[in-house]
Amino acid sequence: MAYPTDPKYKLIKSSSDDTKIDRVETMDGDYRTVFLMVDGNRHYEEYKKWVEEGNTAEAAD
Amino acid sequence: MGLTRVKGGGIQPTILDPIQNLYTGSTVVFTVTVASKDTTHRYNGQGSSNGYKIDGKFAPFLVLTPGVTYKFDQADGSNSGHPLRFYKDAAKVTAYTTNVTTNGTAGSSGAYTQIVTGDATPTILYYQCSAHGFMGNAVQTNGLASSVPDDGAITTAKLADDAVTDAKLANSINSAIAANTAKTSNATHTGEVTGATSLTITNNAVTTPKIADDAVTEAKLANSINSAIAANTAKDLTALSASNLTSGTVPDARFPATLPAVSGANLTNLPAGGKVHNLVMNGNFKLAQRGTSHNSSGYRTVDRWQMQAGGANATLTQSQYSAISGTSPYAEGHHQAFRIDNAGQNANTQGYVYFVHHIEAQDVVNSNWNFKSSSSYATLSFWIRGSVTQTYLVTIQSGDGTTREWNNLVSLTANQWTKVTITIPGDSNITINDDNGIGLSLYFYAYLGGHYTSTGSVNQWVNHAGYTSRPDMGTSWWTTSNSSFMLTGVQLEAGNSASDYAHESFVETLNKCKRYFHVLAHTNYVFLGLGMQYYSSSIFIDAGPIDMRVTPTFIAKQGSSGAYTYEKLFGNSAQYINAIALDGKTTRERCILNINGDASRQGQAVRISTHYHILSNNEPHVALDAELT
Repeated sequence: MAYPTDPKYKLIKSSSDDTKIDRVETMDGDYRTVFLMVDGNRHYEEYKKWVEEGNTAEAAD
Repeated sequence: MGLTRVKGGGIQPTILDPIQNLYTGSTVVFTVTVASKDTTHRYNGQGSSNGYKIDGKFAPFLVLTPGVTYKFDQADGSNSGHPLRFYKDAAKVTAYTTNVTTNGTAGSSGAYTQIVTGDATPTILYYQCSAHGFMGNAVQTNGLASSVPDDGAITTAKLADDAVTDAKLANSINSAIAANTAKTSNATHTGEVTGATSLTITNNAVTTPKIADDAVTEAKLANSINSAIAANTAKDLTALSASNLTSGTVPDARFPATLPAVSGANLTNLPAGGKVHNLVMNGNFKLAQRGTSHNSSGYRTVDRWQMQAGGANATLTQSQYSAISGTSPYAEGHHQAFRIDNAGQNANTQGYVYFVHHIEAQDVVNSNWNFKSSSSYATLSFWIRGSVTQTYLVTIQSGDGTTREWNNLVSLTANQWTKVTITIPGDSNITINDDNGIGLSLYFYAYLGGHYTSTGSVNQWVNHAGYTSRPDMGTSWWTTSNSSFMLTGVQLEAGNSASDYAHESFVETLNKCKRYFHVLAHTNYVFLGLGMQYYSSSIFIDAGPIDMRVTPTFIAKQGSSGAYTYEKLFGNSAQYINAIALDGKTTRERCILNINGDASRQGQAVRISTHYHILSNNEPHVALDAELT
């Protein structure tokens, strides 16, 4: 299995510094969902919980 | 003096001798006629000009023998209008009727008045016409009774001043006077108070309690007061105090068409300013930026609300439902409802499906509800409808610290809209921070399996416990095919009673909800922003100010590789791409997009638009999401 099914998250590099990861993407049906790693964003909170459960997102391109 | 015998012992006065007539035991008949008086009539010149004649003599003084019946025959036509009667006095003040018999009409055949005298008959009686004065004369009866009236006619006026001496008073009265009690005691005087000097009433002594109800009639009021009443001036209430209104209400007609200014702070159960502040957003579900129908959990349809479900084996559909015309909530202006359609599930104690709405913490903290105080209240009101008769569960949860929970079971009749009002007090154990997190959450359960419920307490604040704090609810809805669950008109406000729903314009609701979900492009071919081809392959697009709750999640339709989902326009040269992303420089205030570009066009300006993607159920092409969990 691979992204977006398993794992369901994929990391995205910073557009200004490709040594950094600043976003995460996931697919919701045919919607591409992208969120920053910012506390309070519910998708990021869900992602953190998913990671805490032992999961790992797909590496950035 | 000579003696003239009349009939049966009658004596003509002018010839009366002091002798006793003999008792004959028979009836003596006097023939009575009426004629104009002459000088032989005793009362000639006094009273009527007519007088009675007895056996042809003008008004003789008669002496009657006790026990003899004397009939005064008035059959003669001259008696018409002159009925003869007996009186104790010549002026006819007091009639005498004892043993007096009358028959017929004077002046007609058979008419007579007869009398039988005895020992009890007054000594002197007078025969007179009942209609005219002084037509007759007197009779002497030889009875023993006094001719003075004995029926209480001796009034005060009959008594000469000082005539009633001590000797005339009963001993009991004299004793009472001597004891000085009758004059000074506070005993109630039951008789009339008359006379100018006998009793006086102290000034101001007649107080309201001394006046019987309704005793003061118009006749007892001074004319000036009656005139004032008639002029409708005395009735006007110019200074009516609350204490004067002991019952009832002031009729509506007494209020002016334009009411005087009243501060909202003085209106009970209304917030200062008089405007209801509904802490719930989109409570009547008129806004559905994400779409109108969806088969998945989460924020999918109506703004600020989500359906959450689990443990289902058949379809559960959430939707913005608009076919509620003709219902009670519709009559209150609610034209949409949030709806769940259930295809029918297998029994599952771990199943659940519910509506949930999160209220931002700082909005609760800055409302008029002191959620820490048990004497401060908030009221939740809503319309709810289930297609299955059972109890449904409504839960209110606090968002910070130890989760506190208020559970309420609502009994619904199948397919019947029901207005529910729940008033909750504050609670010292509630924690809600003044921030942008969750302050309160409202849950409306169509089904919550027994795995998550117990005999939990209702209508009080309790600590939330995942499996025990919530009470058991009905279960039939979950397993019933094609069952439905609907909600609308949801309002949470400070205060202990429910106000009418605070309707607001579409744009008001939209602007509030944009803090949580902001659509950049609802349809195809919508301008997203201008950018410039960077030296790398990226294009950065300023999508403008957004002012959302937190840095949002970017949600954008993505086509398969090679699809023309987005358009990049360099001058008049268009390029197409299947995906777009959010740039890391985005903040909660401003949105920056990022799209793969064309390095060969470095430095060129570019216009970015949505191009084409199949959209259904009003779903947006590109949007930003900053919702609470």
